[in-house]
Amino acid sequence: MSHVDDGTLNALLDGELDEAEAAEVRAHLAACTECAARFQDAQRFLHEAADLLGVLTPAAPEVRPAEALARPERGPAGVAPLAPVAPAGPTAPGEPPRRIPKTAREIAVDLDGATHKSPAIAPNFPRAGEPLPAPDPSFSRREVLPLNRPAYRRPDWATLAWAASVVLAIGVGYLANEVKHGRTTVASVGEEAAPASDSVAARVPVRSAAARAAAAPAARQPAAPAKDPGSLAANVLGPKPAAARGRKPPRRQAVADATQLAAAPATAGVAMAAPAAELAADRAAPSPAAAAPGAAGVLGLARAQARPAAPTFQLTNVDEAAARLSGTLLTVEGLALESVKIGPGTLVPGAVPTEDVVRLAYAEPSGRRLQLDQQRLPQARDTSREARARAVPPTLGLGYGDTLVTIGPAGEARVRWLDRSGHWMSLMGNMPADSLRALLARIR
Amino acid sequence: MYAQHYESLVRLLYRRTGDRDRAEDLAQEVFVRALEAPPTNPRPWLFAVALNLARDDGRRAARQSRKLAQYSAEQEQTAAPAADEEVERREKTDAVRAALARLSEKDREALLLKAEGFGYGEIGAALGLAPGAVGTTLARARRRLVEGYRAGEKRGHEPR
Repeated sequence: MSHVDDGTLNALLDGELDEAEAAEVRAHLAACTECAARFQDAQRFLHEAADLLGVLTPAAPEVRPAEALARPERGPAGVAPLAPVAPAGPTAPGEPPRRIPKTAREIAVDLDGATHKSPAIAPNFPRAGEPLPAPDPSFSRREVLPLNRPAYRRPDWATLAWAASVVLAIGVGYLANEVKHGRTTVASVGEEAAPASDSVAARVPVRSAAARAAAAPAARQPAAPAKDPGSLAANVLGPKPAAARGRKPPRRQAVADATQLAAAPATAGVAMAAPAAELAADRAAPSPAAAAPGAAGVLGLARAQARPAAPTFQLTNVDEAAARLSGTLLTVEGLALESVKIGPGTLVPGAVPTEDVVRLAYAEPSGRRLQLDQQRLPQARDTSREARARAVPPTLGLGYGDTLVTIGPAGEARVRWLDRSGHWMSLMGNMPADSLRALLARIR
Repeated sequence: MYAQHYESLVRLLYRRTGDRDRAEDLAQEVFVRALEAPPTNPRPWLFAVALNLARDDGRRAARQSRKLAQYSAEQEQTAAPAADEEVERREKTDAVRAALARLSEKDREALLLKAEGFGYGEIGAALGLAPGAVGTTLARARRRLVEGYRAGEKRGHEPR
């Protein structure tokens, strides 16, 4: 026989050779000192390797599975010992099994509400020698993998209640605001009808309907129409802050409308509409005063007049644009500038409407067009972090240092950002957002 | 099946991953899979799946451990001085683990399966080896593990 290879020697040591083979190898080893030496080596390696692996035995004291198996099954069939090996720490015999780490899938099943089907270790899984159970027909594979379908079977009442309360609060606030504007009207209804109900109507505006209902029988007046002119007037006057930015005719129209509306019921014979008309006039009064000639010193109006009459972008030059941006005009390096325009912020979505926007138009070598809008935000003198945070107009939806990437309906990407010095920029182009982002690096 | 193989599986996975918790989690995962598709011959199936999971897990863990390696090295230096035997034991564990990690995947897995009492036929089936090749694989694995460990020890004792 030729020399025996290491594999065979190991097979012999591991008892994997049958009788005849083993005898043959042993005979050779007895005769061949070289193979006998290698056999010694193989034996040593085998034992040493086993010892080394033994070092890597989990250190934590364990309940031997033999013990766990030997332990008679406690309780009904469904309460078999789940964890024969305690994860850590000594476990007194008879103590209930310690934690079993849950797998993600098991947790998913739990969430699904099918905890009794928790597949980690079925409590009644057969022991050694027992036949495998027939698959439970109601326990389909689909149920084990609930991630394929929405798992929100049970409504979360706490969340729903919370959401409902938020909606309710907003609704009440809105109504309260609404009625507050028409409150005087409502109150005046109460004054004439039943003074007692006045305070209720004024203090609890939301309940004014009830107050009116209470007052109605006494006054014998149609109370509902009386409220309408008030709230309508309030509605018309509602957007006053917006209108105050310098459009005179609409405002006057609004006042006229309000007066008219308030006056209409009065002519119809509802006596208490008159105070509402007065109120409407009162509220509207400061605005026409501001709009009157000679009062043009008001900042908003001054801006409105300085601006081109028609709110469009006007061609200008780079110097003018830079001046508008307090000297900092950023350009895209390496691209041909096509035009420089200035226009009102109201025309650029996301820009601050009270400030002008400088628009640079570029043509890429590939023919794609780019548009870089810039705005200089009014800087707060106080440079503390809080003051700066306050100074960022909420319309921007950006904080200092933020970048926002949006994709328009036609696939055009837009990157908006606000740098730390209060320079707002918007780069828009009909190209993928990534290309656009790459261009950001070239803006100086 | 669970009670019969759990400890053995955890031990193998612990040796393979070096992390007790991960070994237990992987063992659980193995049984979950066994439950989804009950194998006809559970033992080799369980261990084959376990080794597969450990392999995947190892790849994931390797990426993380590279980042953690430096951190843990720092931690070890600042750790409170442990008892001499404890230090010695930990050094030996680390050395064995390192030696095991230097083996090829097949050698390591054959060794681990053998340590769990697998026969050559079962090892061959689990690792896709011819039965005749298992002895050779094991012979090489054992020698390399021992030699790797000794080499590591020698390096460890040399002044750094």
